[in-house]
Amino acid sequence: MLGNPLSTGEASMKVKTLILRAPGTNCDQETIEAFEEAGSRVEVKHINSLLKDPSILDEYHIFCIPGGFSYGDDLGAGKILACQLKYRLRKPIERIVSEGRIILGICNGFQALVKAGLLPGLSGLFSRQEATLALNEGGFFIDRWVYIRCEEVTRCKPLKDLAGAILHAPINHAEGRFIAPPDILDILEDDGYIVFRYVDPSGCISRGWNPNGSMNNVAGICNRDGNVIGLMPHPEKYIHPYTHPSWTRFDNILEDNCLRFFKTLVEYTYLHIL
Amino acid sequence: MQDTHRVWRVYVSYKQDTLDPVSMRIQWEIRDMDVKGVEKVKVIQGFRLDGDLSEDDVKLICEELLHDPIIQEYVYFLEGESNIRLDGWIIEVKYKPGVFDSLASSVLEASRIIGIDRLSHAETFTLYVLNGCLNYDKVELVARRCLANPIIHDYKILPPV
Repeated sequence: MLGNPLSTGEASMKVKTLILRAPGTNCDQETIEAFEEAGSRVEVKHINSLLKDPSILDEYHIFCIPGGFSYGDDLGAGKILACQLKYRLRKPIERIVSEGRIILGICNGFQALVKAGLLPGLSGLFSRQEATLALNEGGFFIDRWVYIRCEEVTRCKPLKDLAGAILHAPINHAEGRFIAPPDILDILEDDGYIVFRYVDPSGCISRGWNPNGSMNNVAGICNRDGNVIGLMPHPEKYIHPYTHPSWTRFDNILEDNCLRFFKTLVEYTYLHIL
Repeated sequence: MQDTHRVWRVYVSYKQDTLDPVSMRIQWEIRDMDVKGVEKVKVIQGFRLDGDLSEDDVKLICEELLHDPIIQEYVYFLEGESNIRLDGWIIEVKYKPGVFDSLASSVLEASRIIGIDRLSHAETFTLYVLNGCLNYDKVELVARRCLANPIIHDYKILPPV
């Protein structure tokens, strides 16, 4: 065993994370802080820099597309960013996936990965859109806290150490209702593509705790190799206890935050990708 | 190459049997206005694409940019050559001349990302198809109070054929 590299500061010297900025991205600062707190070196690049020199992406172990409203979400949430990934950054992204490095999409990043055909990617990378994140069931933007459970049986090796964990995190989206055709949903269920589900506080799947009408309470999925991961909730917004609305009222909130999500990713990267 | 400068129209709407929260919300709002008789609302996002576009170009724009293949469907046709029949009262809402159309601007920008640089101009509009026990006055009230913002929108009403 290598021990906990995060506690020694070793990982912070080695794991490199790139946070993408695009017009309308607005969660980049929280995401930078989350990865830094988790022990990674972090850099942020605007998409125009990547379009100018796509090989920049080869320098990082984790590529994270944070939340926001990229390009105004005009053509559908994440749609234009998805086109940038598919048409202009295809090769370096294919290299990331084939080399087993990690791509993480949070909220708008998740929407972009799904619409680019990177998630779930059953027919191959970028081949076709196989699922979607549609307008919430009620037709409104939702801003609230939810519970999500990291599934025990999943292909997502980078989050294996989080299996069974229940995270409390905020959601802030208008288009988060996960929909997949029945044949695709069956594969996602049977073959472990589902990484997170909306649950009640005790971890049970419940219609009442599904905030947006997502099929099978799906909150996050991964690709075949488990190294492209997307989720709608925002774990980066709860890495400090005091960002929880009830932090002054409950003792266990002090330890029970989403920093472990990022630590798990960074630690996996240190142990298995470097 | 068969095409020269022409104007294409594209209609994008939710697939049948797919939950359409936008239409549902409009029905709630009409009910909230105490207008009775509206039994069904269908919302169609329209695009007007102007440029030296081939049919393949238009199809690519529709596939990659204008619709979500999981929940929506689209039709496209040359302006003035449509055989599409929409049953019900139709309200067309579009921006007044001079109002910035951000959706159209995004279509222009995004079409270049996917390799189409022959789209010279785009406009958007929304078609609301209302069914039920309605007359012109009721539909006009719905259009004026619920579907259009008179500061930025023009609307026109087409009775059922």
